[in-house]
Amino acid sequence: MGDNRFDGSFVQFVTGLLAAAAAVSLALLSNARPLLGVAGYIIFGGAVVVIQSQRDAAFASGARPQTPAEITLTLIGLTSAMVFPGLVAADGLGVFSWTPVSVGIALTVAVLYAIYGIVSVGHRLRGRPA
Amino acid sequence: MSHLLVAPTRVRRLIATAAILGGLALALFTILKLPLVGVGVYVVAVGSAALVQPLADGTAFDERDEEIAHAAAFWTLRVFGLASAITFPALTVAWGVGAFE
Repeated sequence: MGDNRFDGSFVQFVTGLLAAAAAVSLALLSNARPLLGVAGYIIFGGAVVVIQSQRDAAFASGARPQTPAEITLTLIGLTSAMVFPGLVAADGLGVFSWTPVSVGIALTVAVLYAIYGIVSVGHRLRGRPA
Repeated sequence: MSHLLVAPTRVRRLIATAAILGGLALALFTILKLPLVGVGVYVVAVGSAALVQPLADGTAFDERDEEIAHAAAFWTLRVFGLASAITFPALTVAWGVGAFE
């Protein structure tokens, strides 16, 4: 299986990058935008913890390791699941307003997971994944 | 406690419904200028999705679900990648000829 190639080294590489991103966002943004820095730190650090705990659980149960596509969608999903409600709440509290760029990003993420949902349902209805 | 358990199929449907409802509520209430209501519905939906999974009568997500998730992730990124590879250069061209801002 080609997937297994990514099992150890790829996940380590991704978590390494995420941990670095967490540290850098905290360090660089602390001065100029403290809340943004802390938010970046929580998101990237949280992603590291989730990925590693999932991988440990997968090892323990002998399940198939996640593929790069799944890791990508998991990361974007976890980030979006925290960032967008945060933005909506900030909008409600009057400390954020939507710009064309942020609306574009939000719609892009929405389309991405709409495709994922449709493909999942399609595979499920067909009975067997291709 | 067995009366509290839910069939795995039902658990999967509840989680899917909660995820869809949460996302839609977030988007719709933002458009309706009621963002805090949207966040409230979203938090309730995601919270109930997380709470219902341990109530499954057996494994909620088995190997078949894993295979579906695997294939769905693969095809999602393939479709999204192909669509992006066509859309974004086209937008750049349209912007270049002044047809898109």
